[in-house]
Amino acid sequence: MVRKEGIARERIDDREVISAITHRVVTRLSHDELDILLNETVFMEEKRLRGTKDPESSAYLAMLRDVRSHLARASQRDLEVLMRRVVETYAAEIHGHFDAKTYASATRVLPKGLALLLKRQKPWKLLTQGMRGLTLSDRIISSGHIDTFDRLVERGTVVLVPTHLSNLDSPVVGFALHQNNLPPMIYGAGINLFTNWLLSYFMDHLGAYKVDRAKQHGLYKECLKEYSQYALERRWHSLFFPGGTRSRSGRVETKLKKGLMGTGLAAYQENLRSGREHPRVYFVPMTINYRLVLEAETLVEDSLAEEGKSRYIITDDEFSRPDKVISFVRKMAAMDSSVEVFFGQPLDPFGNPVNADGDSMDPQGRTFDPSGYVCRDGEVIADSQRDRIYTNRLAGAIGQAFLKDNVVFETHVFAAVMHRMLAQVRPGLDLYRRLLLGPEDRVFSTQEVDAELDHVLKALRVMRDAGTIRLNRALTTGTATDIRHAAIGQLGMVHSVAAVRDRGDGTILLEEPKLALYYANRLENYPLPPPLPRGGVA
Amino acid sequence: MSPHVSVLGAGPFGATIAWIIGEHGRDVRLWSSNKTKRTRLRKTRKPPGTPITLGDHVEVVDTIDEAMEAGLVFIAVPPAHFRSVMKVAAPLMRAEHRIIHTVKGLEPGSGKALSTVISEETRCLQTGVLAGPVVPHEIWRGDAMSAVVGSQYRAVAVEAAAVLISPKLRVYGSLDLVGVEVAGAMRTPLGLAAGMLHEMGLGRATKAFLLTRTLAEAAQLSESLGGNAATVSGLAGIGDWMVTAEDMNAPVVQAGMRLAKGEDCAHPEAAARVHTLIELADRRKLELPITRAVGAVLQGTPVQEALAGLMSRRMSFES
Repeated sequence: MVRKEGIARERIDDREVISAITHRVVTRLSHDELDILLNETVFMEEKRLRGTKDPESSAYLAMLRDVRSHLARASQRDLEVLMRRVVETYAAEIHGHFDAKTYASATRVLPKGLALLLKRQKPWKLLTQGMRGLTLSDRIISSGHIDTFDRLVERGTVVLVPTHLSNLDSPVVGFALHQNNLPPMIYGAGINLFTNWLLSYFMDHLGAYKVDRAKQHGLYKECLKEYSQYALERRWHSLFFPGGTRSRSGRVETKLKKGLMGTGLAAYQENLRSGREHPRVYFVPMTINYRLVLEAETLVEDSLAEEGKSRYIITDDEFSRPDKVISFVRKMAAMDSSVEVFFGQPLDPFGNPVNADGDSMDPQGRTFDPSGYVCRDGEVIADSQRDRIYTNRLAGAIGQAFLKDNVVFETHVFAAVMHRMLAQVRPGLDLYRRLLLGPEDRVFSTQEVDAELDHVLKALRVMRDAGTIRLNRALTTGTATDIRHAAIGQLGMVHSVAAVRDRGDGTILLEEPKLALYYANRLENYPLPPPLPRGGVA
Repeated sequence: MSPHVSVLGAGPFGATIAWIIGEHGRDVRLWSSNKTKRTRLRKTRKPPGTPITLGDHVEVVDTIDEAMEAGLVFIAVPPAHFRSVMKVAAPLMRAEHRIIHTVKGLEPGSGKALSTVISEETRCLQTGVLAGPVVPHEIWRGDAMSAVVGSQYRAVAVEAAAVLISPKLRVYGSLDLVGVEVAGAMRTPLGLAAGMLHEMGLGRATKAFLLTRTLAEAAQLSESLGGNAATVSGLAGIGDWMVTAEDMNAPVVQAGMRLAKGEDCAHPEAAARVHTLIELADRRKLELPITRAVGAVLQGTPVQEALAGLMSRRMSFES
């Protein structure tokens, strides 16, 4: 049964949605110089699609050229008609077609299928026992402010903002929502994922709306933002990854994109202006924490390479190989709690924490009405400069929540320890030169590794007690030796190469410093103490 | 109907702000935490230490609750008491409050800007600071002068400026709250140093050296805290410091003069402000040589020795 909240709460008339988005965008932009905006749109799209042979793109380009041919002699009214034509095309492309029945079927079947994969169930057993008892719950652990989330979906609109490391994130979030009986959420998915008809059918009906990252012009971005704001005003709970793309370096994201984030504040103000019954908008930061990340090798290469700045959409990573995905998921299945999902404390659009009743709280925990941030004498005051500062504050609070709720695994701590020791080999070297050190410089005695591991663990446990980081169960209780054993085993399991190797002679080789760096980076941005001096262990 | 504006703190500067606002026909509430002061003010209408008389538009109120009914609140209390006043005001704070403080200094101990203290203690986000070369005895006699309201929020700066602007006071806005607060904080070491130089009989060239290099220190500190370097070249920085360096009656300058004579500075608040700046510089790994030299004098180093130390630093580039 799909919970009747958010987008599942009402029957959606697609034409009404497209028409509303079009109307809102055209109305908002009508004071701008529409001819310049349209010219810019056509120019950029022509440049991007020059020489295309795809019939759909050709038809789209022809439409834009036709619009341009009318610009020179168009009146303001004509310009609005032309603008409506272009915007309507974008609105129709973006809008998804959520279907409660498809969602119900998918949420019933897909977790079982994934569980089957994870459990390595034999087909004959499936036939005799059916799919009962198959569960992902022991592999994907979700915790945190789930009850608050559950209450907030009935008190306002929830925007879920997770960290983003892997292409597995979307199904993992979907599972975590389903597992906790939370309602479906709409989310922006790359239009490239809609090329496969089967995948496209499901995504389109599961709440995904299309985002074409190749369209870089302002008009398209306005349409996307308007769609997001419109959805939030209709109380369609939404999900987006504020990091924008998967973290290439493995670091916890702290620089967040604010475009879609700002639509939460805009929706809240519009809700107040319209006197809607449930005007509040809540942001729920979520960390998705993996022991291992399938795409780690490609992502870290991309992060280190200069081209990492321009390759926004990676199409040739480990996820493009189904055999690799299956093999990875199966290996992950061998490990308990290989994914931990943490629902953070909800925030209002100004970055203040929110309690279980949906009330904003000040730094001393007193509840208050935040509408005064945008209203004067009961009237909403429009002020885009003010709103940008509020959204920056929200982004800061989400970034802080990501750091605080980051769950650290053995793989991260061990990789960080190896890199701390590598940095001591030739202290003057920058990161890039350090990564090029020969194998003879990358061998460390087990005793020294354990001492450094113990040193870092102690600091992490102090930070955990202070509430500034989270540790998984093994790190909470394990000794340095336990953690070393576990991490070396795990780091050698799923990647094409082992990041570290126990040489069996009392030494450990940092075999793939780049891969280890990806995991080590998970502890960047935390105030760890300086490493122990080398050779300090008797 | 509640007035639009209040002032918390009825010392000479707080009372002067209330007086400026009231003189131009705007209703304003004035509150002091000191009951005796409130009673006397209500009776005499003459703030102690000033020649002014509060007009009919200034209402001296008994409770902070009454003061906090206004939407725009100026806070004119010393840095050492600032947080405790914020703790008292916090439960009365509403999201729509705009809070402007007038303090030229950082919080003792933490080295935090006072706008940060506001955001740590209260729900108020729309904060600002009033700074610049406003000299009370000159404004009381009606001289033309200028000030600046620093706030991240354009609307807050505009609103605060609007209630203060008069034919004799021109108020500018700045969106660099941090820069304006840093500029205000650097007035103290500059004032102390100016007093020392004066007492030592040093001339204009030395004062020019002091002003320009304090400017460089303030720019560094501002940038380090997320503000702009350029802001300290404005009214809150160089504008205010020029006045301070020339005002031999300013308490901070007099304290500097006493130090140069080898006496106690007798201005513990100024000493605490410099100490706070040095602690902050340590945490931020900033040199701030003039500020540190003033700190050394406050710790007992002879002024000549501190100056010699500054002059013998190795050569460096201006920027």
